[in-house]
Amino acid sequence: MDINVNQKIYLCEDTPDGVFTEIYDAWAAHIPDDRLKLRTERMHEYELFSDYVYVQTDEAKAVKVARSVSRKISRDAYDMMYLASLSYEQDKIDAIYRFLKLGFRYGEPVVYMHARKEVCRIFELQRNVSNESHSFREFLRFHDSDNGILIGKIRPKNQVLPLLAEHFSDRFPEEHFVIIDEVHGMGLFHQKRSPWFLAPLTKEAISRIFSTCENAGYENLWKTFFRTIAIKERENYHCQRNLCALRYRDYMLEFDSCAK
Amino acid sequence: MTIIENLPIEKKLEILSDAAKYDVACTSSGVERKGREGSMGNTAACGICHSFAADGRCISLLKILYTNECVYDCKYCINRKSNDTVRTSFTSEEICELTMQFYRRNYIEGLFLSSGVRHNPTETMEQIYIALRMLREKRHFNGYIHVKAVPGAAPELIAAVGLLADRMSTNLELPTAEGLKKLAPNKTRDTILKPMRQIQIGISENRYHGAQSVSRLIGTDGNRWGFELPDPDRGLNRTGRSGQLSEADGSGKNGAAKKTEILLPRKQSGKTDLAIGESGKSDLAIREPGKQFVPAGQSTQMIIGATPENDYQIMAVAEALYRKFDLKRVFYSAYIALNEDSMLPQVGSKPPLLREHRLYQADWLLRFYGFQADELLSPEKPNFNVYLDPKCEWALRHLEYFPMEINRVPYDMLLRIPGIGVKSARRIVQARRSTKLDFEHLKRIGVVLKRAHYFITCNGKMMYATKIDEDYITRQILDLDRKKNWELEYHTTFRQLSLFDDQSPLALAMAK
Repeated sequence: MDINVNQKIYLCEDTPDGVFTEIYDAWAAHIPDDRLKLRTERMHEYELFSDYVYVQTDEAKAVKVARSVSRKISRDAYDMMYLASLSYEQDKIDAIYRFLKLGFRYGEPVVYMHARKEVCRIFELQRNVSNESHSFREFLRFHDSDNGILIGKIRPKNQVLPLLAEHFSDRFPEEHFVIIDEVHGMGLFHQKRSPWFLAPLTKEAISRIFSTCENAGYENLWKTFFRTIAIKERENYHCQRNLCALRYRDYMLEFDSCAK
Repeated sequence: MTIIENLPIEKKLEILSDAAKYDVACTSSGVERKGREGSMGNTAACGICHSFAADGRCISLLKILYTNECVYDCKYCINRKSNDTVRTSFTSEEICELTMQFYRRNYIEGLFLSSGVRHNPTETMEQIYIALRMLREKRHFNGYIHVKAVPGAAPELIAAVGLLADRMSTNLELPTAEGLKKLAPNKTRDTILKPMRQIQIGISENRYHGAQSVSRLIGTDGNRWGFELPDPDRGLNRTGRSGQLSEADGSGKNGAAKKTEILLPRKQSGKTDLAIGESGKSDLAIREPGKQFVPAGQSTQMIIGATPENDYQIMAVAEALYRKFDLKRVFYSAYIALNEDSMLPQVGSKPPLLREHRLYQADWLLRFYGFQADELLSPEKPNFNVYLDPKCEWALRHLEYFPMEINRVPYDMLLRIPGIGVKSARRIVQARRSTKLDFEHLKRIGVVLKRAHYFITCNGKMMYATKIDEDYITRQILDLDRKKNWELEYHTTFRQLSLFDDQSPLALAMAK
C-alpha cells in the first residue's frame, strides 16, 4: 500500500449538498490528485500521515457546482453526478471529481467516453444507485395504518429516498404516506395534495411510527394471490432469487423471510 | 360443473387467479402516464414488476379472470367446459376493490383482466367493460390495465374497452390454424385475427388524430350487434339483454356528443339503437380529446408443445404478427399438461421450458437485433439447438463474416456478434468516436469477452490466437455454457429437440 505523506483528506456530510460543497472546496484548493482524497464523514476510517479538512456544507457552493456542471458539460453529466453522490461507495466523491475534471476538458461528449476509467466508474456508481431505486419502486410495500396513513420501510445501500419521492407522490396524490429509510435514518413524508419533503429521523421516531398496524385483510389476500399465481410445474427458486434478491425481502410480506 | 356465486373473496381470488395464471403476459410497459389529482396511479414506460413468484415469473399486474365459467371446450385449457372444477365469478365491485387496495399498497402495477366465456363472447366482454369502466370512472384508477379481447365479441365493445385499457391482447392460442381446429373446436383463426386487426387499426389512428373513422375502428359488420349496454352504476345483468337501460338517443345531440366523438354507429332510427345516454355518461365509447386507444399496444400468445409445429413455423408466425399486425409482443407459453386427452401430451409430462427459452431468445433477435426468422431457421433446419443460443448458432454458421473489427463495423453488425447486446453495441459506437477501442475498453463497456473474443478484432488483433473454425469455437463455447455437473460428450452433430421430452436435467440447468 502506498501511503502519501501529507495527503489531504476532505470530509463532508453524506448528502448531495455536502458532496457538492466538498468538490467546490477541493477544486479551489488545487491539490494534485495523488495527494487528495475526498470522503464523507460517515464512511471514513481515519488514516495516519494525513491532513484532514472538514467541509462545512454550504448550499450556495453546492448550487454553483451543480449549475456549472449542467451548463458547461451537460445536463446528462449533472444527472450522473447527482445519482453518484447518493452512492454508498467510499470512492464516490473522488470518482465524481475525476469525472468532472475530464468533463470540463472535453465538454458534453464526456458522458459517451465509456472507454475512460473515470467515466466508467461514475457510470457504475450511478447505475447502481438508479437500479437500486428502481428495485424499491418495485418491492416497497405499504402498510395501511389505523389512521389511514400508508407506511413503508426500506433498507437500501444507497440513499434512494429522494429518487422514490417523485414517483410515489405522482402515483398517490390523494394519499398520506411515509417511507422510512432505516439505514440512513431518513423519512420521506407526503401529505395528500401537498409537496413531499425529506426529514432525518431518530430511532425512537421510527419505532413510534410503527406502533400502529393495519388489520391484515388485504395483506392476506395478497399472500393468497402470490401463492396461487405461481405455476407448480415451472417452480424455479433460483430464478426467483436472481430477480428479487434476498436483501430486498425484509419487508415483502409475501415472503416467509419478511421481518415484520 | 359447480357454479358458486357467494364465495368469500379470498376463495374467489384463489380460484380465479389460479385459473388465470397460465396466461403468460404480465408486463406493465409501453405507456408513460403522469398521475392526476383526484385519481390514483401513474404508469411507467419501462414497466414495473412488483414481485416474483415461486416459478420466477414476474408479478406486475393483478392477473385474474372475471369468471372461470366457460362454454368452450378447448382441449388444452384448464377452464374448459368438460373439466369438473368449481366455477365462480367476481363482481365488478370486487375487481375494483382488489385492484385499488393492492395498488395503494404497491403490490401491483395494475390489473390484468381475462375471462372464460360464460354465455357468449359479447356478454363476457360486456362484463369486462362494466368492471373496467367502474374502475376508471368511479374509482378513478389511473394505473395500468391489460385486458383480453374475447374473440367473437361485438366490435363496439372491443372499441369501447380499448379506450379504458392500456394494453389489449387476443390469444392466438396455437401457431397454426390446423392446431387450433384440432384443439379448440369453438375457435377459428378468423375470429381471433379479427379483433387483432381491429385493435391494430384503432392504435394506428392514435398516431394521426383524435378523431376516428367509425367504420374502420369497428370493422365492417359491426352493426349486427343489437342490444343495449348496462350502465355501470346500475349493476350488471346476467344475460346481457337488459331492457331497463338508458333510452336510446339516435340523434346523438347531447352535450357530450358535441364535444367528443362517439365511436359507434348509430343505427338508422329504429328499435335497437345502441344506448347513448342523455348525460353522455353511458355512451359506450367516447374518444375524448387526448384519450388514447390501447396506448401500450397489443400482444398475443401461443402455446408451445401441445401441437407438433416446429420452431421454424412458430417463428414465421411470430414474424408475420410483428410485421402485419404491429404487435408489441408475442409470448410463448410452454404447454403444461394438465388435461387428459388423447390429442395432447400425457398429463404430468414436463413442459418444454428450454424450447420456450430459445423461442424468446429468437424473438428478441427479431425485435431488437435486426434478424429475420429465415436467417435463424429454415425448412431443412426447422428447430433451434438445445445447447447453443440462436445468436451463437447463427454466428457459427456464418463464420465468413468474422472476425469483425470493433472499431469499424457498423452498429447493425455489432449487434450480430455473440457477447454483444444492444446496450454494449450502443456504447461501443459512442465510445469509439473519441478513442480506438481495445479489449480492456470492451471489458469496461460490458461486452462478454469470453464469448465475444472468438468473433472480434480490436485494431486488427484478436485477443488470443484462436482459429476461426466452426467445430473449434463451438466446442469452446459449449464449454463455457456447461455447468459443472453436466457431462455431455460433444459430437459433431447436435441433438435435435424432440417435441415433448427435451428436458434432460442437464439441459434445464443450462436454461438458467
